[in-house]
Amino acid sequence: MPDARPIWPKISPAFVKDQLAGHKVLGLWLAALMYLVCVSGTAAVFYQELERWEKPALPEMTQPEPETIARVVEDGRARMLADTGRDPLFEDLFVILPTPEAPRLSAAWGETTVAYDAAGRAVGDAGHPITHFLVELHYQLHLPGGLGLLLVGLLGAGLVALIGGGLLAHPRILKDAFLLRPRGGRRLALTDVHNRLGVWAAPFHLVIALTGAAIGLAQVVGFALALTFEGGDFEKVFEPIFGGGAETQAITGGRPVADGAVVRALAEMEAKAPEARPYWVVLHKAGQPDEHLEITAAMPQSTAYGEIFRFDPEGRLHSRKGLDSGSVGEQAYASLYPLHFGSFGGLPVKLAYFVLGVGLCVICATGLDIWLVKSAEKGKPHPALHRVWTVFVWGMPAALPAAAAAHLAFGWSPVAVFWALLVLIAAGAAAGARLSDAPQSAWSAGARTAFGLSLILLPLVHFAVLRSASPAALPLNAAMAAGGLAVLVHSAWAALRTGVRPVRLGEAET
Amino acid sequence: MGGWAIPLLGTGAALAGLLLLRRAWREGPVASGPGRYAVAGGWALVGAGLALFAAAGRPVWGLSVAALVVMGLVLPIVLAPVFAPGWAPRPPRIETREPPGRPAGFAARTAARAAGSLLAAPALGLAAALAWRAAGPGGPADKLLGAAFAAPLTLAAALVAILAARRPWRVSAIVTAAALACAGLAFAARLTGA
Repeated sequence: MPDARPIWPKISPAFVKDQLAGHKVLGLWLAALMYLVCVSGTAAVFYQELERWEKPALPEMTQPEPETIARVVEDGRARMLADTGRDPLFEDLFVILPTPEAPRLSAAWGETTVAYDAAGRAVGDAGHPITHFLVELHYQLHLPGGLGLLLVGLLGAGLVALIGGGLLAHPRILKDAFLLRPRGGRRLALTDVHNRLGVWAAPFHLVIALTGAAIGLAQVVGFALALTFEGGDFEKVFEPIFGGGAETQAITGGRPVADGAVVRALAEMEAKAPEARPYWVVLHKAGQPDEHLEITAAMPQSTAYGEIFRFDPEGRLHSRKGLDSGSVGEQAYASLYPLHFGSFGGLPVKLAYFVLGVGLCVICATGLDIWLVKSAEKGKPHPALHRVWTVFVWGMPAALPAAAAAHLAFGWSPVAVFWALLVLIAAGAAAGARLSDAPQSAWSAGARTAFGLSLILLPLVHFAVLRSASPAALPLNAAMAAGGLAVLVHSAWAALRTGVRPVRLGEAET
Repeated sequence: MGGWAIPLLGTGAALAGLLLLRRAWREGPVASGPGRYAVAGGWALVGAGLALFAAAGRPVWGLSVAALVVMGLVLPIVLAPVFAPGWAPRPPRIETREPPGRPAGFAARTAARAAGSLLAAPALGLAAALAWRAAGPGGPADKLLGAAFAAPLTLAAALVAILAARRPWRVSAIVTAAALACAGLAFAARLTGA
């Protein structure tokens, strides 16, 4: 008989118990904020599609002529310099070229974005407050200054700790690789779903958490590095990646960008890097003595957000920055955002990110659920908290489309509507725990129904207000309506299958 | 990626590997016969799937996509019972016994965990970033990115250690000492111009 002993060293039960306790404490501390970040991040995977959807009437095109792009650069520069209200920190003009994901031409500086048609004529504001609201929720929870970014960065580090601690607390990781107990108790079922999703999707979660934490903490780390090594000069810290003033001086020779430089630069790119697909023409320090031109281009089969091509004032290619093929540090930096947002492989990768992101939301939701059910099993039920959490889990995603619909219909601030709804949801659920004796499952079904209805409401409002069935609007509207319908059907099916049991909280159901 | 053939082959290999692993898991340990190699074979097929993706294009991009493919394939396999008709978890069994009281020293340990997590762990994260920037390998860009990743990774490791500790004050003190050591290394490097 072969030796059947496992090849792995045995992990002591005490160690596992301690890790589980640590995992639980951290999860309880972070659950609600983590869930906010996970849900908003999952939706924000489609931020480019959302931007198109938000302004479906803007002109779309495939590849504008270089002369058109040059005209947009010129017009955008003039508008930017005439914009006396802009923050002086925003010194760069970005001309955003059409891509398959976002086939539009626009110029942006600071918080302003202007759309252009295929002839290079400005056609109006291309700002997207709804997408901005969603992305800002994910980036900084709508908190002011760098505080939100720091908090989200810390949450990212917390997620890394939860993943690490969760894996350490799971000694039967291989033995239980496919374990799901459909007829076990509710806690077992929740634990199985939590663990299986957590283990199998751990590489994705780790990448998301680590890149998110690095992005969120970059500012604080940058300040610490600046104070320690660069005499407080923050910009100098990032010179190894972005280059410095001396490098720019060497490229420009102190001359401003000449007329015709953009057309020439685009032609040089076409000739010298035909595999590159330009998507930003950037006029750095526009209108200043050290104004200079760069073009950022997507490279084939690359996780980097692009390669930066630098041009002299006449538009001759000077050098490549090396984000796509430079040192490990440069490539890793350039890959942070695409790996975090899933923008390195087109729609299939985005869909995978969405599905795995939903998985992370489920892990987050079930984590607290497991603790609540376990507490109740031990004779320490938290019925009010359980109700608030259940309503929050479905109500928070319901508040996102509701806030967007309120903005579309009435022009209300989506940020204000979203947070007001969230407060109402939490307060309503907490008060309901005292005023109503409806069972937990009824609250869950109600919140799920609200989520489904909210997902259906948004495309209806979008169509009623904007009257668009264009390719920019239709796919997302159809997807949201189908998603809402699926949630409603699933909710009804679940109610039929299990029955909304007339059971009181703290008795046989928590 | 030079056509769809190699990615499809990679996807097929990964899927076959996952199904083989699931079958081996269901059947349990086998002492003899070809079944003995099912687990190793399953992981080998998953690895082959990843390798095919990586070999078909630029390795980092290929591996990133392949990892998503494997995770995308495994989730329906693992979670299938949730959507099957038999999925009907029983309501939890509620104990009627008195809930256990707080163990002795609970408040002190909670205070230690909070202080360690909010002060010592972030301090170690920042100090580790400084130390990496000062003494990490590679060129300036590598050191900068190393520092950017060192901060969250050490912060996370410290959180795991402090929160799982039975003596959180002691572990917090160790984490603080490690932070001071890292910061000392960084300042020493700055003073010596290294």
